[in-house]
Amino acid sequence: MKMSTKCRYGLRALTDLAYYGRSGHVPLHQIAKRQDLSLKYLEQEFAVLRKAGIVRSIKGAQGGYLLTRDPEQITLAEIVEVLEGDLSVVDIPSDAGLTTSFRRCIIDHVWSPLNRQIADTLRQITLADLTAEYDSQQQSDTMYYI
Amino acid sequence: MKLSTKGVYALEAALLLSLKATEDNRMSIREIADETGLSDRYLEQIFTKLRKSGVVSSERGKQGGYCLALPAEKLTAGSVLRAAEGSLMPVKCLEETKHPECSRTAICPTRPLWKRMEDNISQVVDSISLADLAAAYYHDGYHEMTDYVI
Repeated sequence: MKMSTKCRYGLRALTDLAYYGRSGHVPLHQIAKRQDLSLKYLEQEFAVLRKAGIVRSIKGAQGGYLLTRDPEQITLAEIVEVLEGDLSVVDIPSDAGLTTSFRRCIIDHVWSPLNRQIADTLRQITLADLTAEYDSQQQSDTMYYI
Repeated sequence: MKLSTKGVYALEAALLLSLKATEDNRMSIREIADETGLSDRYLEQIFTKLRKSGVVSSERGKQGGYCLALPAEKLTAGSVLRAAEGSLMPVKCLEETKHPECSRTAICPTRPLWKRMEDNISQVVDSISLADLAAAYYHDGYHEMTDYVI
């Protein structure tokens, strides 16, 4: 079970944007540099995020991106849903229309509770929480170099 | 972010073993395939992993086959899933034994989130044993349902 690259990179980039975008829009190439991500890849991701209403773009040579709302109002559930398609950890298997009593028992007692638990967690965490984490890391990182 | 079919099928097969197999009455891959509707070739691959991780034991020969290696109370859904999947970590960087610590660990804004997700996943799958599942299987009447193939 792995998070997709799309989702991992997307969340990192959005956290960076939430952090550095507090005083205005941020050019993508800066995010790419700080987070060590490919600019091309980020351009694709941000096009998707823009269509989904999570970021908006400022055009022009000095352009860049902004979050459409405060980071407190953007949950990870919303972001993961856009980048992964849905929030479930397990696709309830339905191959070739086969359903056994074992499968149904496990769906009810393992997969459904697991999917619910993860979705609940993602709904509780906002971009602001990730930014706060980033903030404390940046500070301890600075201290490290002093 | 998905669990692979390996984990999904492994848990189905393990539930079947907990219900029907004993050390004296082992089940062959063929029988497991028949009862679960899964492909025997795929089950072979999955059972190799389950055997290596000590979830199932195997015996060769005419009376041979598989059964659980431990009492069903001692095997959690989590242990079966980890054996089949390798790990339940949502991202590679949490698998520190396999992947030397990433150079960005200290400044990665999302790593704490992945750790929290992993804790959540473990909490759910480690809290239910194969014995719990087997009990639910009978108690909630799943055994009376007819399997259907459309």
